[in-house]
Amino acid sequence: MRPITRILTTAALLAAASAPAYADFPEKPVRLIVPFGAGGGTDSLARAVQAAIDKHDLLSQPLVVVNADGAAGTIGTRQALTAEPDGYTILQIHQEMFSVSAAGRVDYTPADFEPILQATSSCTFVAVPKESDMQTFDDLVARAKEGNLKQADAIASATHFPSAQLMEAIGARWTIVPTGGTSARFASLEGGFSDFALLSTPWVERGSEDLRALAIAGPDRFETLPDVPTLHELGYDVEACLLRRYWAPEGTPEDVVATLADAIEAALNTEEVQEQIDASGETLAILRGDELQQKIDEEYQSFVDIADVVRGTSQD
Amino acid sequence: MVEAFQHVFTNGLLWVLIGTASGIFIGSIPGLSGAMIISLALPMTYFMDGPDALLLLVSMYIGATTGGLISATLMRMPGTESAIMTTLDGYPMAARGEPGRALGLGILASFVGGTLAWIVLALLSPPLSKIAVRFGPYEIFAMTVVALSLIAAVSRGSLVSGLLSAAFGALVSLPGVDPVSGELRMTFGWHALDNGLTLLPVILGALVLSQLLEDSGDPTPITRDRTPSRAGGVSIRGRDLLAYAWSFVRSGLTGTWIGILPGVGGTTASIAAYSLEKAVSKHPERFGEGAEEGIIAAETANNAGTVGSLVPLITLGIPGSVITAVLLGAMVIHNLNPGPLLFAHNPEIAYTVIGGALASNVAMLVIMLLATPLLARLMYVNKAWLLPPIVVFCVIGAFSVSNRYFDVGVMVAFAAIGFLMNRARIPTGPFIIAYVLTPMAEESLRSGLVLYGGSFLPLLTRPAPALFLGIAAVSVGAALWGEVRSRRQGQLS
Repeated sequence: MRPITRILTTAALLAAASAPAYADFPEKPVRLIVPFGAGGGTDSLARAVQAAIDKHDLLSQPLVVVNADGAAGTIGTRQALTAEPDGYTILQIHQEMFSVSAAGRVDYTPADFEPILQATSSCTFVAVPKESDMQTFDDLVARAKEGNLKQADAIASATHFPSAQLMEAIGARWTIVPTGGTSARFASLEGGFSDFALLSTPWVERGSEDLRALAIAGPDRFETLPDVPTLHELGYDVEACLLRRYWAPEGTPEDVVATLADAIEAALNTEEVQEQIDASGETLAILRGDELQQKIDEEYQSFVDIADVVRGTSQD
Repeated sequence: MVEAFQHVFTNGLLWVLIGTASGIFIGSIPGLSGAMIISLALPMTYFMDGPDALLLLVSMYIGATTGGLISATLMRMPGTESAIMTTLDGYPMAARGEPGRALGLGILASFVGGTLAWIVLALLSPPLSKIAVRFGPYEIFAMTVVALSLIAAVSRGSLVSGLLSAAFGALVSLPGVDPVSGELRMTFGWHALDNGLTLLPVILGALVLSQLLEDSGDPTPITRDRTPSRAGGVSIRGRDLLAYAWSFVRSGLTGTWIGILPGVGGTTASIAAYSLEKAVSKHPERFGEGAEEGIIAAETANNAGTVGSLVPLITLGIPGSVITAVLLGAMVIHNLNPGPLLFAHNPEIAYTVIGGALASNVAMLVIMLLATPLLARLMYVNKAWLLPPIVVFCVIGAFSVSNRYFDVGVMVAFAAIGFLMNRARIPTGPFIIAYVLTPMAEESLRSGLVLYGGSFLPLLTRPAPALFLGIAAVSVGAALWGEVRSRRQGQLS
């Protein structure tokens, strides 16, 4: 063996030993599972991220969005759960993953996944019909204490848990009328079948002639509703924000998770994705690594802690 | 408004034609659904102008609803879910040598239904959507009961097997996530069942593949021996419009109203309209044997329901179905916020949707008229050419529901079940009707029970539910009375 070859071989061996085993990741397209149908908030963000990764070449292989809808997101989540932990199958879902688990409906928990990145946040607000006699959040608290309050919500959903936290904070219980997603809640309010609901930001504009906002269930006031206080300001430590996060199956190598997180974060910071996030009334809320893990642990624990109240307000 | 309409009928017309034609094409293929093509087209529309994107998607929606009647009429296989009721009378009429007439009636009915609903959409959207949201869970429940009462009527002559079939349909709809409590039920710890036995695989199996099994026993064209004299030309006759005027109006209004209700769609609309038409008919025994009114009711109501479902979408931002949910997503992506303010802030968008619905309705009529003479010949094609591709599309369709093979297995199982039911002379109609309507009936009833503190009383004290339940009782009573009388006559003779 000539010296130059020997040096090259040694160098190559050293490189192979020191470089991560997945240095070439990705070598084939990455599947991103959206466990909900086309056209919803989860799907829209996933498609925007996919288009941006494609356009700006943020990943050496394409990201492919796959809709696997059904059973409150558990069908698609299970497909990610049972996939090879090699980074080629990842998942995007919000706290619906926590609620099904905390309610005891599935046998997996967030600990069975590696969080990749938290992308956006979509906070809700407490809305009553315009003709309601509840003018302030204090009126709502009074009604709750009288035991005469109905909330439109989806049972054991990602908003039912914060609702239960609110019940606990106020020290009262009220009826949860099972309606479903935010548009069905709006219909229920409009029809006079329930007294209030947690609605997402697009309903600030859509409902501006029909609804009154009493409080913001997020960390900050809404720019579009500068006079409406947050629940924190009112003394209730409750937030109801959908946090859209990317996940990989447990055991996915750290550097693969980092590669994916870099690509998705870069995609989120492109102008096109920013525009779409604004259009959907959401805000960028990037979080990764240990910070993200800690936030997830705290949040999931808060869901588990309140699960009994959620069960108590679910009619069978 | 004028500008928006001008855009629709000039530059936008291309998108309307593309959308309508591709919608009809996809809708006519059993296995491929309107929801599927619209979901696939959605990411493409990100790069289009907002109004053009909406024109394309709305046209696809209208096209797909109509396209379903082609295979329903010619092959007894509903091309889309909303064409289920069309198989009942469309196919018998086509099979007796009048495919051109059967298709012609379906096309005419689709156009009339779409137009009637369009007039409502254009003139009455805001006030009607306000009334529609006052339709609460008990109102929806009672209305579903009216549609369910059709089971008794459809099973006339074999009430017991009809009811058995319906009970089986209701049972099949139960496994999966409990619609009210969110708990899993009847899944036996088998996670594949968590999503239940979903609509598309069950319908593809029980109605399409079972028919396909039946056909493959005898692949020769069914009408081979009949003279195809009237078959070649499409017969849309002006006098049908007059002769069945009341059927058109009743079914059109029923379909439009059901379409406007949030969460209720074209399939329920056509079941309800069919049940109404049969109830008021002077010769209900002809329904299911190729009755003109049967085709008219089913096809008028499903297109009216489709256009009607645009009303809550643009006036309240409430999507009533999978497809309108995708349309809502498209509007949000293009920063067009539907709702009460759409007419104030983006009137051009509201009028683009309204204009597009009209343009697509007209485009649908023209395309169908041009295509039908060719399509009607499918009746005379050896089915060995048609059946294999249909199997492929059905597998694609079932797989796409949740991106897994389990649903393909469900489809195959229901193909066997449907085939055996046909052989045992157990009608599949009650099975499908009960299967489609039970989840809505259950969810609205239980939701109402939570709302009214466990009391059933509002079902009788609220005017609309009381009226609907009365209609259902009369309809079931009439069917029972008819059954008893025909048995007695049978005994006498």
